[in-house]
Order: sequence, then structure tokens, then C-alpha cells
Amino acid sequence: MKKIMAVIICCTMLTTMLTGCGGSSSKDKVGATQTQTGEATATVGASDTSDISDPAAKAIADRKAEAEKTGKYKKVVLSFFTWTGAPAGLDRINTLLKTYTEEKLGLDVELSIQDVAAYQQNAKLMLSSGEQMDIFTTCTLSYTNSASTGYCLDLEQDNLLQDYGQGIINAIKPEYINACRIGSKLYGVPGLKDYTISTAAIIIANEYLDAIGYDYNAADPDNKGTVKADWKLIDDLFAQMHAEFPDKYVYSTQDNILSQGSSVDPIGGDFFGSLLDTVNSLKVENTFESSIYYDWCNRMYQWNQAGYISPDALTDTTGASARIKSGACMAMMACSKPGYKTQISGECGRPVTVFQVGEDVLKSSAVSSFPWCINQNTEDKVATVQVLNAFYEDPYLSNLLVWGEEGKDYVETSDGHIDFPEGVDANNAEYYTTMLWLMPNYFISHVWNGDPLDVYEQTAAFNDNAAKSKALGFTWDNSDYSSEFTALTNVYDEYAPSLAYGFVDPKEGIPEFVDQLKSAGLEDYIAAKQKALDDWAAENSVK
Amino acid sequence: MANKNNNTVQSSHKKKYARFIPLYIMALPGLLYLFINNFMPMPGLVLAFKKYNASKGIWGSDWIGFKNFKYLFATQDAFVITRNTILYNVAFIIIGTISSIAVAIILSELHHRIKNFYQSVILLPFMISMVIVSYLAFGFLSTDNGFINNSILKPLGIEPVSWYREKNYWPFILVFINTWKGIGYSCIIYLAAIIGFDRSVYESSAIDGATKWQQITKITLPLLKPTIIMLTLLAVGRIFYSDFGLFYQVPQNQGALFPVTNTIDTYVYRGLIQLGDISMTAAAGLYQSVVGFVLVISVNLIVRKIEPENALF
Amino acid sequence: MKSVDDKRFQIIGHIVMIVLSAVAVIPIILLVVSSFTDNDVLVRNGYSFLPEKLSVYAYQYIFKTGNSVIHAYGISVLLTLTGTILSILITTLLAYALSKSNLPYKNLITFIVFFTMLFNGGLVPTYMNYTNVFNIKNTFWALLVPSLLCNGFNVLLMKSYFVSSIPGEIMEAAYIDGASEFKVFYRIALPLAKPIVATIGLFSGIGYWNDWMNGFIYLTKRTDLYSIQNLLNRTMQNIQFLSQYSTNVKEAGAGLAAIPSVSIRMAMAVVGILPILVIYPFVQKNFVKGITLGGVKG
Repeated sequence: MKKIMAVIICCTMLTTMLTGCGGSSSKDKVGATQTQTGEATATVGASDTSDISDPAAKAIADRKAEAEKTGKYKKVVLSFFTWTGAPAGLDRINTLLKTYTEEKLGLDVELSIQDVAAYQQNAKLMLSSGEQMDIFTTCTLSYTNSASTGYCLDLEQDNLLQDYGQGIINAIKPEYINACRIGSKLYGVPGLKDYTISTAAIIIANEYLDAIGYDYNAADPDNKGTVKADWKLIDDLFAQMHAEFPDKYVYSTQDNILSQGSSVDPIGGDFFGSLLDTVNSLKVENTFESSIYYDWCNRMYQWNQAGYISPDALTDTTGASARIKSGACMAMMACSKPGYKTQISGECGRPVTVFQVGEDVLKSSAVSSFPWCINQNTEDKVATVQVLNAFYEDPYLSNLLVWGEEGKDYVETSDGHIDFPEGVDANNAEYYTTMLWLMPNYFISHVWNGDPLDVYEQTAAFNDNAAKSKALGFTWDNSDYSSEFTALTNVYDEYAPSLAYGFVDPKEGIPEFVDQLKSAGLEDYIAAKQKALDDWAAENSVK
Repeated sequence: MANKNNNTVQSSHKKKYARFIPLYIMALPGLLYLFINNFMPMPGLVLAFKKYNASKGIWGSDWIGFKNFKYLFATQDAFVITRNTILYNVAFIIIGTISSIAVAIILSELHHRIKNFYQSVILLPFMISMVIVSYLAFGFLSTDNGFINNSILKPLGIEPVSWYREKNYWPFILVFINTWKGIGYSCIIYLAAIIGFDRSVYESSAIDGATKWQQITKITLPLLKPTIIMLTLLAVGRIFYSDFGLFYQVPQNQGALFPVTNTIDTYVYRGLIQLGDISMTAAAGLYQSVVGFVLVISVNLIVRKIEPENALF
Repeated sequence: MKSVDDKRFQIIGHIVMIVLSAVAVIPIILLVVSSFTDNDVLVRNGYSFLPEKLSVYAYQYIFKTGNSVIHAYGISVLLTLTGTILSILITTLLAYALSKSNLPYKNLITFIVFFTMLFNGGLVPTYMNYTNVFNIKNTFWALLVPSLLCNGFNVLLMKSYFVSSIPGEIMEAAYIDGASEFKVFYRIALPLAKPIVATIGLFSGIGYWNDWMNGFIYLTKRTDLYSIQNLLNRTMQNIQFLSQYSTNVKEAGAGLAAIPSVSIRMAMAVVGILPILVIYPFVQKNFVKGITLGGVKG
């Protein structure tokens, strides 16, 4: 039991990491209280990205003076994870970090990196037992759960954010910051990344398109990176590919037909009751009775019947892109964003074409899926906020965190990108985290070779131009319904994958699935969510 | 013997306890460790009855009675998971005991030196983690290119079976895998016990013309009774627990198999991996412990009536 | 004197053991073969005894990249040796003391020991206990102490053995001769208990060798203290986590691509059991010697 309890202990509310943004939150709290508390000494210029308000500069000066006297700098620890654990070069980066932050902030900042499963496991243990973990990411922990369990600091307490977090306020749009509010309190700030997703992107490796004679270059003359398509084209291409390569499987499955394949919004963090039309309506409905779900399951069923899907799809734990990489499969579905083609080509180990079938949408919990939070028990709240603030506004720090040490972990290329130094590659790199999307603000860091130089601007525009969910900013703590949630999850695990991978005829499979969900308490759960949403909408004047 | 009872009353008291001091000293390291490792954290069990809040700490958090236990009972799956957990454990106890004893007896009776090789080999599966076992099982049971479908059924002309979607085979598959993995390890206890038996009884019975089978049933098994009873009692204490790797990873978390592979531990895991509630996890652990405890005490009472010396206490 | 009956038993016994050994070994052979299989072939064609293409890439990867495997072996060996010796010591002493039927409060203490087998404070309180009260996090002690040093099962097993297999008369005789308790323990009880001591030692050793949980939760900074199984299981846990949540965590796809592939996992498993394969025959020789020597009575 120990083992299980250990693994269970840390929750993973990874639901909706999909980007979904949107939300007209009329309560522009952050913007409204943005006052200049400047006094005489510090310069208060809006374009001055280094310290603005006096309390902030004063705090730094005080700390540095203290450190001169005692010879010791206060330590602040920033915790996160990578897929494979602490990079070999971590100590080196920490040394550089320490030197820089002692000078800049009067603090000794340290990065603590674990591997993802260990992080999920240990973060809660460490937070519960009061170990030093001042700033942490809530990815793989549930943000709402962490906040309700009391791990996260209220960032606006004593004007902390306003006085010491101007860099954060400047870097993130107010509506995105407000999206992380839980009941009007701000417990975390989002990392800047692609919140919007382009749903239902079908990725097909180019060599197979060549074999059937499809000219993907002609289909994307402006080299935008994606080809607009519809299901008819995809079905057509798949049929031809299947005929041409009978010994390969066409489609590499993942359990993402709702999360990445549709604009259905998992309001409140899960699909047990979702917004089917998130841009226009606040009605929480039964996802699995919707026509969207039926269409997808039916499509998968047709594909499975046609032999496009491996009979072992359900039990295979290899990643979808790994299967394309090994040559076992030819296509997969995910969601797209600016620069995605380069990324997925790398994962699949070969050039691919991205077909865009769905639309762009910013789902309600996309922004608040895993904010950066500060530990409630952190020793010096001011210091910790200033550290987090620094990572949002200081390019040197951001580059150090995201890319490592200049010269050793990356070098600048002639055209303004960065790339590996001579002799270093992804396998032997000492600090190459590939966790861009987790970082506070990678928009102010360098652009890696392969992406267009303006990819960060493109991403920001991508976010802003998408259709946004009406419920952006709504979060829900489901701990009162944990019993139903456990039962519903068990039912989901039992029935959904077979439907999602097309092994069961949706005409019979879906009604059975829905029946089981209902007897597990789905309707009560949905009702509770709806009520919470209605209350939130009333409070925030969202119609 | 005699001189102890001849001591005077006053010094006999002192002598009595003084006599035991060395024993208490010997017991001290172990008891100290058990205190530190098991008893000091035990007050933390109150978490099961509280709504944990980190800012209030374990002791400051609010009491919420049995709410944390609700998810274990108030669900349509409660019967299935409880039934599965208990039935599998009963099967494991019975089959495990019989097979371990059989192997231990065989190993103890073989003359040839190769028996050491056998013993080493059958211990190997125990050393592999259940995750790897699940991969290997997949290698055998995969629909597309699994060993069984490709190399056994196909040549015989039988249709390939979609093993991971047919739940009826799985009780047998899981019992087989569990025995395969554990037999090398569990037979060691019995083997050690058997080797410790006095050989002269066997020799004299052989002279009297007893067959091997009679020796086994009339000498070995009765002598093993204390060990068997003790091991069974201890296993009963864990009857609400299950090997997570066996019931979650080996069936590859396949929904179609849930009716026969969902146990209390896997049920809790599926829910809590997303909820991550510390108190709910504590509640599940407490529930399993209490049931096991009650069962062991009860069975021990029964054993005490029948075979007093073999009861645990 | 080998009778027909005995001969028949021998034959049946050998047949049974051969079958069991084969069943035990065949999947392991599959494990070793797949660790030498080219990864793409493994993903495409599944696990096979006769793969299309062999490759030593998995082993190259393990021994060259990341945390040193040799170093991890060292840690595992050190941990297992110290842990097993300490564990045997503590367990035997306690079990011996409890086996004395006239020990005051014996039943209470036995019950307490038994109680620890069923009730556990839970992971969070245990973690807090060791981290905050005893400060063993990120130290070697964190691998050695929690859960593994002594457990009720071993104590009770050994106690039962002492009680049933060591004649009281021998010890009484020693007491009369004026021997102290320690002498009786060391000179008489222990040698007679060789089989069970060897057994507990084996269980304890296997427990330490296979344990990865302690390292998983208590070692967040000291990657130089990772044991072999810890190394392997971190990868496994990461993979399981990612493959489960690749639906929700869209970046997880990249993660799965970054993590060691299937053949590497197989190789890590082989690397984990390799020392056992090599050492166990030696251990077993002494094991049997110890057992049979101890078994000679009268």
C-alpha cells in the first residue's frame, strides 16, 4: 500500500493543458490597482523594465546591506521538473545564477529540478513538511487542489504583487493574470506560452505523401507551416496511404480526441460536464452525449474498421510520435500552434506536413492549467516575489533558466538564432531541458534555430486572435465531489479508450458508457459545476 | 534449574528482573527502530478524518468525520473492487501455499546438485520489477505480434485472441503471473524450515517401509504446520491490499478488464492521481489496515481454540 | 539406500523442477533478447525471441549517458551489504529476546511488533518524521533506514523458528553452567538458527537491492546516491506518468520522445538483475552450507 499511497499522493490535475483562452473577465483587478507608489529615489518609468517602485528597490538594497554584514545571502529555491530529471549541468547553472542574483537581488537563488514522476510525488510531500520550496510550478499537481489545500500564497496579500511584481504585471495581459484567480484571490501567475490551440491537426509524414503523389508544397505556398484541410481530404489521403503501405498502420492513436481534437472545453478541469460551445454559451453539458463526441468516435470506428489502427493500440504505451519515428505508423493527430511543424518533425524524426482541420480556440482553463505559485510558508515573501518577478522581466535570467549558459549550452548563430555549440547535441547536452512551455517567460529569451525569429510574437498574436472561451478565469474546486469524481474516473478509464480508439461501435458503446457515468453520479456532478459557473458568472458580470 | 528456585524471596525479585535485563537490552535496538519507523508517524493517521490544509498543518486542520471514506463505499464499484481484492488474495494464499510447499519439498528431497541451480533459477522472476513483467506479458499477449498469438495459436490454426479485451482469461493469467513471480521467494521459508527438521525421523520411517508420499504427508506436513499457520495468518492480515503492479500495470490499465482486475488499490489510484488528496489516501490506507487487523485477530482467536501453540499470540 | 519409490520421486521431482525452471527462465530470455534488439524493430514488431535486427545501442546509452551505472551499482552493493548486516543483527536480537517464554510483557511486545505490520502512519507522516525530525533527507541514511532495517514479519518468523526449533534444554543447560544471556545467544542459539538467519538475510538483501521507493522520495538533490533500481524505476515512473497523461499534457508527447526507448528500459532491467545472477550462485552455496550444517542435530 505504501507504494500506491506514495504514487497516489500527488495529484495530477493536468486536465486542460490545452490552451484555450478567452474570456472577457471584466474585473480588471490587476490593471485597476496598478499604481505608482514611487517616492523620491527610484525612477518610475513604464518602459524601464528593471525595478520600478521604491519598495522593491529598497527591499533589494536592504537585503544586500544585510548580506554584507553577515556574509550570508538568503536562499530562494525555484522548483520544477524535466522529463528526465536534473540535468548534468545544473550545478554550473546554479553557480552562475547565484552570482547574478546576489548582485541583482541580494539573494542566492537556486534551481531545484527533479524528474516528472518524482516531482509529482514529492512536491506535495515537501510542501506539506515545510521544506524549502519557495517557487514551484503546479504542473502535475492540481492548481485548484494546491490552492485549496493551502500550499499557495495569496500573491496580492499586503500588495506583494503590486509593489514587487511589476515585471509580472507588465509581461502578462491582465485578462490572463485574472484567469488564474480562484474566487477573486490570486494564487498563482501563468507562464507565458501558447494558450490557444488549433484543434484537430493531422500530422502525416512527408515520405508517405510523396508515395501517393500528394504535393504538400503546393498546398502551403506561403510556407505558413500548416495546410488547411477537411475530413474528406484526410479520409482520402488515409485510404490511399493504406492501399500503398498495407504493412504499416496509418493512424497512431492517443487519447486526445476531445482535448486536442475538438473545441469542447473541459470547464472546471475535467470532461465530466463541459462547455460544448465555449465561446458563446455557459451551459455545462454531458460531453459524452454530444454529437461532437459521437462524430469523433464514429470516425475512429470507421478508421479502425478500415484497418488503419493497430489492434494493440489500447495497450501500447509508446508515444504517438515515437511510433511514427519507428516507421510503424504514418499519421497522428494533435493540436497545432506557431512553429509546431518544426517541433513535431523533430519528434517524428522526419519531415511532416501538418493539416489543420479544426479551429483555433482558447479554452477556459488553458491559462490557469499550471500557474507558477509561491509557497505559503516561504520565509521572506517579498524576496520570493521579487525572484519570480525577475524571471518574468530579466532576459539574462530567462535565458539562463531556459537555455543554460551562453557558450557552453548554446551559441548565437549569425542570423540571431541560437543553436548547440560545436560537439554538443540533444543526447549529450548538459543543460537542455526542452521545457520551454513550463517557464515563466520564454518570450524574452532567445529563439532556437528552426523556428522563425518572430515565433514568439506570432504566438502572442495567436493567443490574442483566437476565439476565447466565455468562461476564461473560472476555476472549480471539486473536493466536495471527490467521491463522484473517483467513480466517474473509473468509469471513464473502463469505457472511454475503447471508444476513442474505435474498437467499439459508438452506436452501442456510447449509450452504455453514458449509463454507467450517470449511475456514478454524473448528473449531480454536472449540476454542481453549473451552479458554480453560474455563481461565478454573476459575480463577474459575464453573460 | 533447581538452584534458581532456592533463592530467597527478596533477592529472587531482583534476580528475576535482573535476569531479564540482558534480554531487554537485546530487544532494544529493534524496538527502538520500530518505534521510530512505525509508531512515531502513526498519529498522522488522524489525517484520514481531517480536511488537510497546509497552512494549518496536520493538527490544525478541520475534522470532517468519515467524509474521506465516502468514496470507498458510496459507489457502484465498491462491491466489485472489494470482491476482486478478497478473492484474488484467497486464491493467492491457497495456491501460493500449496505450490511453495510442493516446490520446497521437492527441492529438499532431490539428491542431485542441480537442485541448487533450480532454486536459483526460479528465484529470478522475483527479482524483476512488476513493470518489466508487464512488458514481458505484453510480449506474450500482444494481439498483433505476441508470442502466443503468433507462435502458438497461428501454427495450430486457431484464431488470434485479443487477450487484453477478453476479461475471462485474466483471473487465470494474473494468478499464474503472481505464482510465477513469487514461488521462488516463498518456497525459501518452507525450504529453510524443512532442512531444519531432524533427519532421524525420516530415516527410521524409511526403515519401517514408508513411501515418499507417506513421509511427506505424515512427517513433513505436520512439522510444517506452525510455519503454514503463521504465514497464512500474516497473509490474512493483508487481505485488503493488492499488488499494484500486478493489477494495474500487467493488465495495462485496460478498461475492458476492470470487472476482474479492479482492486481497492487500483480504484483509489485512478481517482486520487488526479485529485491528489492526502487525507483521502490516508483514509484508504486506514480502511485496509483496520479490516486486515480485525480479520487477523479473529482468525487468530479461532486458531487459538484449535491449536493453541501456533497462534500468533 | 535408494528404493524404487525414491527413484520415482526423483524423476517426478526433476521433471517438475525442469518445467518450473523453464517457465521461470523463458520470459527472462525474452527480456535479455529484447534489450539487444534494435529499438525501432522492437516498436514495430513487438517482442520476439528472434528479432530482425540486433543492436547494442541500449547498453551504450546506459553506460555512457546520465548518471553512471557503475556508480549506481556501487551504491546498491554498499547499501545491500550494510543494510543486510544491520538488519540481521537487529532482527535476530529482538526475535531471540521474544522467544523466551518467561520474558515479562513478552506477549505485549510481540503484539506491538505484530501491530506494526498492519498499521502504518502513512506516507506523509512517515516522510515528515524522517525529514523534519531526523533530517535524513538526501543522505545515505535515507536509503538505509526507512522501512527496511527491521520489519515485524522477519522478527516473528525468526521468533517462531527459535521457539520451535531450538530445544530449551540445551539453553537451560548453558544457563546452569553460568553462561550469560549473550553467550547463550551467540554460542548456542545463533549457530542452531543458521537456516533462518540465512533466510532473513536473503530476504533483507533482496529487499534492499530491489528497493527504489526510499531513493525516489528522499533523494531530490543527491543524484550520486541513486541505486540501480532507483535509476531504472525513475525512468519507468516517468514513462508511465507520461503515457497516461499524454492526453492532457500535450507537451508530454515530446516528453515520451525524449525518454529512453523500450530497448533501453529492457537493458536497464537486465542491468538491474545482472549482479544477482552472478552473485546468487555463490550466496546460495553458503546458504545451503549454512542450512545443512545447522540442520545436523542430535
